[in-house]
Amino acid sequence: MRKHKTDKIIALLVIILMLISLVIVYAIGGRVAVANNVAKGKHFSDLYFFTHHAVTIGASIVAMIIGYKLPYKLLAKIAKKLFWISVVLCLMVTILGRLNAPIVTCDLGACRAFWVPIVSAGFAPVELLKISAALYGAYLIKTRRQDGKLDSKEFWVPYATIFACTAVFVGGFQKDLGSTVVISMMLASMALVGGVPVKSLVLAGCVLLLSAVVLIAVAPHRIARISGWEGDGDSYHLESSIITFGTGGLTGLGLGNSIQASGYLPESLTDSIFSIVGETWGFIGASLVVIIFALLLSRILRVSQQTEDGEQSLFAVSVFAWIVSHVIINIGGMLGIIPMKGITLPFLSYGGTSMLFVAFAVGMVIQISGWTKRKENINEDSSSRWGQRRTRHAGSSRRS
Amino acid sequence: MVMYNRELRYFWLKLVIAGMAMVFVTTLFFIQIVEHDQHVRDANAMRVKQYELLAKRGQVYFMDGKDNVSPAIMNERTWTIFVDPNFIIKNAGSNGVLSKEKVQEKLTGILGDKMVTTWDKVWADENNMYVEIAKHVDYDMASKIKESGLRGVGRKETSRRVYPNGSLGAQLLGFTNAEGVGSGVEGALNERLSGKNGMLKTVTDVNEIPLSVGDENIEIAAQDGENIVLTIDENIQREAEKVLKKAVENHKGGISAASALIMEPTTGKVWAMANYPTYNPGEYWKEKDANVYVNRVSETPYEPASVCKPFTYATAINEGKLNPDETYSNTGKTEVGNRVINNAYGTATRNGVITFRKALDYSLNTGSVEVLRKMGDGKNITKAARVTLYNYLYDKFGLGQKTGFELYEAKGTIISPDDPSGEGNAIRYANMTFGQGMNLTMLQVGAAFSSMINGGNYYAPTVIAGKYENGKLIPAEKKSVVRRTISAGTSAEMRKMLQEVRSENGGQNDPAGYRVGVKTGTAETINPKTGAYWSGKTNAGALGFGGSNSDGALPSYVIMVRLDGETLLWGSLDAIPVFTELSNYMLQYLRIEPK
Repeated sequence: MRKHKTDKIIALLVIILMLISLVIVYAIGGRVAVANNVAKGKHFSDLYFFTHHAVTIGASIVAMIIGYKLPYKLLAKIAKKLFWISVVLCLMVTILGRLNAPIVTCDLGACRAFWVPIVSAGFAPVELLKISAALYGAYLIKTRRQDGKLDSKEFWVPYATIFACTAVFVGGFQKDLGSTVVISMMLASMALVGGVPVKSLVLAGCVLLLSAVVLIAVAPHRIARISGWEGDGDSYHLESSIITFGTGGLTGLGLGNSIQASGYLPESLTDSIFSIVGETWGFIGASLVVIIFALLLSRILRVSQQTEDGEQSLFAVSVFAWIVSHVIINIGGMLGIIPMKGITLPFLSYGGTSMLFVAFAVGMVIQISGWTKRKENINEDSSSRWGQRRTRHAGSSRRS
Repeated sequence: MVMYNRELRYFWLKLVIAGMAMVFVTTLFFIQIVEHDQHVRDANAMRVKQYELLAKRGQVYFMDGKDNVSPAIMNERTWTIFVDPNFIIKNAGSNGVLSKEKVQEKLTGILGDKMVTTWDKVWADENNMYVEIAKHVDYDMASKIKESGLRGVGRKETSRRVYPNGSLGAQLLGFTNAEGVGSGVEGALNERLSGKNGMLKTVTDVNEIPLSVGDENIEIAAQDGENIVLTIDENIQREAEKVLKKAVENHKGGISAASALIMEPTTGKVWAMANYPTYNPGEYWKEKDANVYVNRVSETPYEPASVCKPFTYATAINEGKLNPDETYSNTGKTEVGNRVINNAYGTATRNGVITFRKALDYSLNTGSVEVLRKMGDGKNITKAARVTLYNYLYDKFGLGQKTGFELYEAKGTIISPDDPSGEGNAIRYANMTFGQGMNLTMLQVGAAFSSMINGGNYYAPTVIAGKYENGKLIPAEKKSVVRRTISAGTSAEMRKMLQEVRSENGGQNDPAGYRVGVKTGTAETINPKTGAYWSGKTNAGALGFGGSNSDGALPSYVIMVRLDGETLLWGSLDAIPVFTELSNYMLQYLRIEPK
C-alpha cells in the first residue's frame, strides 16, 4: 500500500473551528480583561487574550503539521517508553504541586509545569499521557490480536495497567476526573473496534461500574471531592451558562455584544466558550458548531474504519474518542445535561497546551488518512480520484 | 484472529456522534428558542441596573458693581473614601490585597484626622462590604488614595457647598440639609438650584460598570440647576455688615441684634440685607442658636414705630386732607377715646402751635394722630379716616402683605378697621400713625418707602439679577411697576419733608451737594412673656434715602436700619450714625456727582 491523498477536510474543519475561536476570543477578550482587572486587580490589556490565543493557534497549526509529517511508525516504536515517561511526569508535577514548587501550578484539577514562554501556558503532562496511552494501547491490541491473545491475561494485564495508572495518577492524585474519563473512553473505543469480545467488554464495564459504585458507597465524600461535583460554584456556573445560551435566542446578540462575558459567566474564554458562541450567534451558530464537530468526528471515524493498518486505525479511533468525550463532557455540562466538569472544548477553548496536543493528534490522523483502503473516496474531486487509482495500482505491484 | 463484526462496532460509534448532535441541538432549541423569553427576563433582572444621574446644583453669585459678578456659593468636588472590610479580610495576602493592619496603617497615614470613624468599628463586622471612613476629602487626598492602589478601598465623588466669603450674607444665602430643606437662597430657591436628576438604565457588567451593548439602555440626561446671580452687591453687603458689627460692638451689649436693608428705590433691587450677629453657613451645624439663621430683614415682623410716620403724612397729603404748612396745637399729649397718647420723652420744648412739617421733624406723636383726625371729620378718628389709612398702608403700600419677594418672607399684620374683633379701633389706628400696633417686615417698609420717594411707583423687592451661563450674566426680566401708591407731587413733597427731618437728624454729616432724607424711629417692643411693652427696652430705627441734588433726580438708594435694644435705644442717637455711615458709603460707592 502506498500513500495517497490525505483527508484535507479534517484539516479544513479544524481550521474553521480555530477561526471561530479566534473571532470569539477577539470579541470578548477585552471585556474579560476589564472584568479581571476590576475584580482581581490584574492589568490585562484589551488585546491580551486575543494575541496570546493567536499565538497558541499558530503553534497548534504547527503541531498539526508536525503530527502530519512525523511518521507514525517512529512514534509507535517508542509508545511504551513514552507512556511510562508520561506517567512519571504526571507523578512529578503532582509531587511538585504538593510542595508548591514555583514552576508548577495545579488549577481546576490539572497540574501544569514547565512554563512555556511562547504560549504563556503550562505544559500539562496529562496531554502527553493521552497520546502515549493511545499509541501504547493501539500497539497492545494490534500485537495481541495478531497472536490471538486478545482475550487473555497478556492483553488484559497491560491494558488494565494503562487505565489503572491513569485512574491513580490523574484521577486520584491530580483529581482530574475529566482527563481520566477521556483516557478511559479512548481505551474503551480502541478495545471496541479492536475486536475485544463483547462479553469481555461488558464484563470490564461491569467491573468498572461496580467498583465505582462501591467507592461511592464506602466513601461518598471522597469521590465527591475527587470529582469536584460538590461546591457552590457549579450551580451558579450552570445557571449563568444557561442564561448565556438563552439570551442568544435564534440568531444571537451579534459579535462583540456579549454581556455574559463581562464577568457573569465564569471561564467564558476557556471552558464556557461554547455558551458565548450560543449567546453571540444564537441557536443557529451553536447548532452549526455542533454540526462541525459531528462532521469532524465522522471524518476521523471514517479514517479509522478505512485504515487497513490495525494499529493506526486504532490510534485514529482513540483520537475520535478523545475529541468526542471532550465535546460531550464540555457541551453536555454547559447545557446542564450532565454534571459540569472543567474540561476544554477542543479547538475552541482559549489557550493552554491541550489544543497543541489535540492538534498534533489530529495531524497524525490526517497522516493516517493517506493510507486508507479507499473503498470510497474521501476526496470527491476527479483529479484526486485519478490520483488514487494510480496510487493503488502502483502500490499493489510493489507489495505482495 | 478473533472474529467480530467490525462494521457493526463502528456503527455504534457513529450512533454516538448522531446521538450527541441530536441531543445537543434539541437541548439548544429548548434553551434558546422555547425558553428564550424566560432567560432574557432572568438575565435582565440580574444585569440591568438603574442609576440616578445627579444634576449639578446651581451656584450663586453676588453682583460686584454694575456689571461683574462674584461667587457667593460654589460647588466643591470632594470625595468620600470607603473600605470593603469583607473583601480585605477574605482576600488578604492574595491578588495584591494587603492585610487589614497594612491597609489601616496606609490609610491612617494619608487621611490623618479626616477619619470619621474608628478602625475598630470598621473591622467589627467582617460581613460588612461598605464602610465610609472619610467624607469631603479634597482632590489631593483622594488622589493619594487612588495612587496607593489599595485593594478593597474605594472613593466616590461627592460635592459640597462652599461659601468663599465666609459669613458674608449668611442669613440671605442660607444652607440646605440633605433633604433640601433649609434657609435663605439655598432653601427658597432650592428647586431652581437643584435642577432635575436624570436617569440611566443600562446593562452592566458583573462589577456594575455600565456596558454600551444591549437594547435595554435608556438615558435621560440630568438638567443642571440654574446658576443664580443675586442683586445683592458684594461690596455694599460687606459694608453694611461691617457697619452693623461696629455699631453692636461699640454699644457694648446694649444692642442684641442689628439689621440693615439697602435697595434701589427705582427698581426694587435689593443691594444688601445684613444681619448681625451672624454665622458661617459653610459650618452651620456648629451654630447653637438657630435664631442666627433667620434673615430678620424679611422674615421677622416687628413694630417699626416712627419710621412709619411718613406713610401717614403721605396718605393725608395724597388725599388732599393735609397741607404740611398748616398748624395745630401741640400740648405734648392727645386723648383718643379713654387713652392718652404722649409724645416721646424730651420733646416738651416743642409744645405750642407748630406746623405739621415741624411735627414730623420732631417726630411728634400728637402730630400724626392729628393728621389721622384730619382724614376724618377733623376732630375724631372716624371710621372713614381709618378706612383711608388702611387702604393706603395695606392696599397701596403693601404693608402687612407679602411683597412677592423671591426668598422667604413673613406676612406681618395690619388690622383692618372692619376686623370682626373690633381691634381696628381708633386707639389702634392712632398708634398706627406712628408705626406701633402693626407688625411689619423691614422689607415691606423698605419697598413701600421706595415707592413713596420714587414718584409713587411700587416695585416688588427682588434679589434675583439673573443667571450666570458660560461666563456671562443673563439679566432677569426687568420688574415692572406693580401699582401706583401716591402721586408724583405727594412723593416730591415727602422727599422735601424728609430732607428737612434729616437736617434735624445728622444732616450736618452729609457731604455737600446731595439730597438725603431720613426718618428715625424709637419703637417700644412687646415682651413676649407678658404681652405688654417692655419698660426698659426700645428698638431704634432709621429709614431714609439719598441721591443727587440735581433737579428732578430721584433718590438713588434707600437705607433702613433696625437695632434691637437690650436697653433703651434711640433712633436719633443710635440708628442715625449707622444710617449716616451707610449713606455716605452709598454716595461714594454709587459715584453720585454732587451738585
